[in-house]
Amino acid sequence: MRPSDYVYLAFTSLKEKRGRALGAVLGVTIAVVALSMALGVGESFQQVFVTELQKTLMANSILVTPGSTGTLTDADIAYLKRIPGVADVFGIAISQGRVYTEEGAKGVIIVGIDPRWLPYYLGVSSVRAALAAGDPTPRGLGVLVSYQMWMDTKTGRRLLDVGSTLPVQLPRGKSVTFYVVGLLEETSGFRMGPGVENRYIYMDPEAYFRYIAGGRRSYTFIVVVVGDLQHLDRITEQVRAIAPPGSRVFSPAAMARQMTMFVFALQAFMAVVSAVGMGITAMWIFDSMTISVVQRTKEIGILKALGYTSGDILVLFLMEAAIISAIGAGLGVALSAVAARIVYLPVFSLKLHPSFTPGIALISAGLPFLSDVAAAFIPSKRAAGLNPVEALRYE
Amino acid sequence: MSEDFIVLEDVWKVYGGDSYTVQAVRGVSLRIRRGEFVAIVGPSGSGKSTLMHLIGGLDRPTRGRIVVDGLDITSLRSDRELSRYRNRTIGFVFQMFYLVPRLTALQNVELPLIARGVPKSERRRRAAEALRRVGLAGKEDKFPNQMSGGEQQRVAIARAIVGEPKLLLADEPTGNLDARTSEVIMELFEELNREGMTIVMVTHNLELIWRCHRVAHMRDGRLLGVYTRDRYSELIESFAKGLQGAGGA
Repeated sequence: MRPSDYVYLAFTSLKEKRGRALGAVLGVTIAVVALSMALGVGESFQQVFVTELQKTLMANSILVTPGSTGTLTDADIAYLKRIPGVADVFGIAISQGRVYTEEGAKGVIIVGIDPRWLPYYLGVSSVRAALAAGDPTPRGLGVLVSYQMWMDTKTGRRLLDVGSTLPVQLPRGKSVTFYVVGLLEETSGFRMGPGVENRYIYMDPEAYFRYIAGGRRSYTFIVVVVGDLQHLDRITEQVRAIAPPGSRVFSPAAMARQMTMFVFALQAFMAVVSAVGMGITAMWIFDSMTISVVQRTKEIGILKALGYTSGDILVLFLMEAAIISAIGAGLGVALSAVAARIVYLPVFSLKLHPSFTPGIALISAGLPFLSDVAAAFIPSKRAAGLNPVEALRYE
Repeated sequence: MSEDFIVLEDVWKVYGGDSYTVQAVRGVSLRIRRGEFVAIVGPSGSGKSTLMHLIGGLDRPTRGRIVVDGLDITSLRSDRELSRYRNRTIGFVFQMFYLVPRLTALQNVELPLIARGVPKSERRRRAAEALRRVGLAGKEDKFPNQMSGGEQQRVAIARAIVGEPKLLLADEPTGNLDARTSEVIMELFEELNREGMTIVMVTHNLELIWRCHRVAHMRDGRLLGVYTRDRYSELIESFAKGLQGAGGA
């Protein structure tokens, strides 16, 4: 028999029981989509979140933010430095301001940070490595500006250059004019959160306290750098004990761990949905094939009388399962490809779209396909092994 | 009609296991010549159909030897060899037609050619030709449930002859048909036989034996005798007269 004829005969049979076939196709589709999402979310999380996290200050840090009424001062930094296992502690002061452009007023984030820790904050090996032009060290009112500050990302027009002046409106009617000493490339470092555009001004903390905070030495948050991540939980507890009352203490690594657990749980859930989908579909196909073999016993006898081998009968029945699975897998892969573009998990400022790689497509389509064909094997084998005379006499 | 086309030598078929056995065919020896039209007659359970299945390679004898067209089919061990034998040498016609209900007449007739790997266009042409030959031109796209019993049986005959087999095995081919339709089917068989096809037909219907060359009579799995058509009709006549005489006395 020609391979195309197996497909042709299998199709005629599927057409006859189209209700069952469509149900099975739907089951395979669900299983493929669920498996693809489970694999895609995991891979995407690994790529986008964990990998990015490694590059930022968050990876081996504990962050301390003040409570609603508290403040964080140099004294707190000094206390925190005494905790065993702490490699270093530094404060970051952040304030919001507005700049006026041709398109109107736009918000900016002014970050006062020790230049030593700026690479850590930006998620780069050194500031120079992230520098498009100018000097890597902010000093006085000389500041570094983020890519979105000096480049119009929509038009590609340069908005600022080294030496440009940059007037910024501060809260409570104050204003200050910076001058640009360095232009930064796009970096993957710390972000303020969803909805905040990445317009940052990085300046020396001493200048920040003097010109922005009005002489008040208060930090927006303190970063405790942990020497060995194995001691993260212990150090976090000690930071909690020492930090001013009402402070919030959290470690990005622990958050990542929780996030990983959440994603893992989501993956596990999707995998269970997929496994259930695969299992139900496989049982459906097994059941459908078993019924089909019984209903078509006489037909099997006829085919054998006409010269079809047992192998032909086996392949004919397996082909039915293969066609159902192939259609379901095809639909599932197409839906998964669409879903990978549309569906996302909001993770901080990131939109975590499930990955959809050829490998994921192959696994998520291949597993249900194989499980269905395997499920069809036993009834197909039974059909192939039927004695033609008994099959013809079957009522 | 001189060459032995089918040779059966002491053929037995025993069913069952340790607790019971059924001897469906008991030591049948028979020779059928190429181009012969032979009827196998006998009461129900006499082993006629079993014998036909054995000749057709649908079943294997428990003992004995069957040679068809020079091929010892009892020596064929693999499923592939037996399937090939059924596909190339035999055409089956059954009482219940055994058409595949979801396939059209043309698709049903194509089936043996699909097993043989004949390309689609070629098998479509041959299937249409076979249907035309049995008088069903124009009914190619009809499904079995849209056809009469006689038409269904003619589709089955078209399916049996489409692969140009050397031997046609018919098991009660008119058993489900009225007298007029039976006549049409038998005329078709006669025509095929005149063209050189060897036909072995199992039947209850003694009216059909007039069209056969010889009649093999079976009872309880044994072959009681093989007679020419004329000799067999004489025997039946004298048997009938004997019955009448006994009734008159």
